[in-house]
Amino acid sequence: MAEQNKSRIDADIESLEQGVFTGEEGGGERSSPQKDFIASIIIALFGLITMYTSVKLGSPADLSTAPGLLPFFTGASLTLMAIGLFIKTKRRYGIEEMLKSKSLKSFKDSFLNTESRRTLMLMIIVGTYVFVLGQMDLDLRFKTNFYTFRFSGFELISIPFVYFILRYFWRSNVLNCFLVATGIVVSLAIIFRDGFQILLPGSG
Amino acid sequence: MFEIHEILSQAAIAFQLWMLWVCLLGVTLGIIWGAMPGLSTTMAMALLIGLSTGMSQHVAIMFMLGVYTGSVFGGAISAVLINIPGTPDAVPTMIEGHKLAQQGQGGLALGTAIMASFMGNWIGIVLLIAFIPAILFLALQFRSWEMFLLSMWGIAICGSMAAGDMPIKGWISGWIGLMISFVGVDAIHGVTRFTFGIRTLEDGISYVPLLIGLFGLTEILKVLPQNSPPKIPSEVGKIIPPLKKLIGYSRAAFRSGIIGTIIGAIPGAGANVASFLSYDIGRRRAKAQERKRWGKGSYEAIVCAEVANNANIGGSMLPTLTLGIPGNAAAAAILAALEMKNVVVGPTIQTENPGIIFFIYIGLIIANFLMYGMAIALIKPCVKLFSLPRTLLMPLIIPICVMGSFAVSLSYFDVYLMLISGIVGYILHCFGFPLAPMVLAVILGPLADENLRRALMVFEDQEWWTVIIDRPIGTILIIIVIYTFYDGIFRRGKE
Repeated sequence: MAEQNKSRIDADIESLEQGVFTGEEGGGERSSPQKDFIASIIIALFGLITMYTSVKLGSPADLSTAPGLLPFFTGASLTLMAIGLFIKTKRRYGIEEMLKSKSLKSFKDSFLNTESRRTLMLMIIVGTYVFVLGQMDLDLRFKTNFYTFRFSGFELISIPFVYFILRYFWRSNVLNCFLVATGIVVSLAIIFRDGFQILLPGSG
Repeated sequence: MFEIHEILSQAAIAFQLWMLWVCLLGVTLGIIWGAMPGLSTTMAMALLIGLSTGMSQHVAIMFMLGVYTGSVFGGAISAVLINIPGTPDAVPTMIEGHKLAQQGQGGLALGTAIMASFMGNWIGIVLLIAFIPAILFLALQFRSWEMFLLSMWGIAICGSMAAGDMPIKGWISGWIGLMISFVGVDAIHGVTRFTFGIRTLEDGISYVPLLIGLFGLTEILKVLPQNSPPKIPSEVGKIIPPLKKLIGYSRAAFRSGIIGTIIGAIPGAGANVASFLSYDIGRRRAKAQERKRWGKGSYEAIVCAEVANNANIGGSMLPTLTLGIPGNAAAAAILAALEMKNVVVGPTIQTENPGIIFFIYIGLIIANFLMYGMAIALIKPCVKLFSLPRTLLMPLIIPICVMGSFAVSLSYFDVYLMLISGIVGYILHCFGFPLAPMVLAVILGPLADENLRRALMVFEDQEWWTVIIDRPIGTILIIIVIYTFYDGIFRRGKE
């Protein structure tokens, strides 16, 4: 991924030097013939399923007002675009390059490289965090004369989550990670809940 | 007379101390955010929509305008001082500015960038104010057929502009967004579409969690796993550039301002295209003596890039306010904030929300002045921030994504939606698909769907050729849509 990001900047610099238009988000440097081939198949299938589902919606009145009218045409044009992507990739790289499958070893190597592994790990951690926070329903209040301290499911789940993710990615010591995690989560909770009166997730 | 009264009453609201404070907060957050490598303007805008839900209408607008103005400039700081563009549109500034920083002129390069950003914002605001009445007048002539065609053109041109040499990928992204927008109860017959029996989907898919997922979580998934050590910033030195020097670049600045505003008004083409195009044209137009300096540290090049990307702000607000079509992904976040505060954007903005358009003009002007002051004040503190690793900053943004998406409608379903769109966005990114067309299509999809069917009902008893003759604006739009696809398939494809 570091390579990819570096190449985005490099691609931008190169395009500036050559005066070539790379678009607002670019993307060419991240793609490959194999990826485009896979994408064209998935998108074509998606388009076909959409067309079928749109037809099944039926029409309560006239065909021109049918609820599936635009979805049908969108599905149809999506399928055409997928075919277009396939043809364009074939013209650029040739069918052999598109169908060239990576060996199992190179696939395993690319999947198990540090960055891909870290990305997958991050997805799992964030997914778990979102799921666990969704199960929480806690809002404890400690009233004092000048302020009502609150501790909700948001803090309960977010502090250990941020701590864990900092330990994994930042790799600082336990105390630093704990202090940063607690400080940030509590500050965010105060800003959102007390400052802007926004209900926090996990707080019932 | 009515308008002067309206302008004065909106100015009275905008110049309240609390409003100025909120704008200052937005600008400060925006500059710091934009200056941090990997944190883009769109990400800032997407995440802070959540924070704006707890604000009143005017406060939320002022806050978002402050963030927008601040974050577009912020990218220049890291570009000059650590050779990493804070935002992608700062790449030209990075090429020139860092060379100057290595020659001990980093402060002057940044000072030029600040001044250029200030001028760029002004050009964008002036052109926005000048063109809004004309575009609103034109937009009021639009009926269902024209609105449908305009929406489809918005998605098509956004796809073309976002994906560079593969516009087909931009269109696919936009069409996937259209599919997402169809989920829910159909507005004409009340039929549920693509809900697969899930009741929560009957309300449709809100684009705010989608925006937060695609531009917040996706960015985190892209950046956090990278092992990049923090870079040591260059010396800042003197910041304010001599006025005489700046006057010498006024022609380049004016030209870049116009380019930036026009690019901003085209859906999907944002600050990146504006600064790149302006930099390229600037190089071709520069005097021979100056041209030799391009790529080795040229102040004129910095002026071209920074004026253009800041003028883009005013430009992007033009279609957003008058047609309800966001000029870019960051403007989509502004649109979301406006809609959440019950501001109906589009041709009827002035009748349905009297005065709000003047408030936005004044807000942009205030944000611009505050940006100028805060940019100078924040350069040195920002240098210290660069020593913080991304692995420390990025994890802290994840709870903001969760809080922001939940705050929109206090539904945990939106948080799951944000998570799914973040992961899908990451996969699409890896396959080289741009994300902005998808967001734009989710916003424009319902508009296109409803207006197409309404138009077809109206045209029921008419021959197709009478529609072509009787609706000239529609016919022009059909030609524009066809040309957009033709240009993408045949011309850009060959390049």
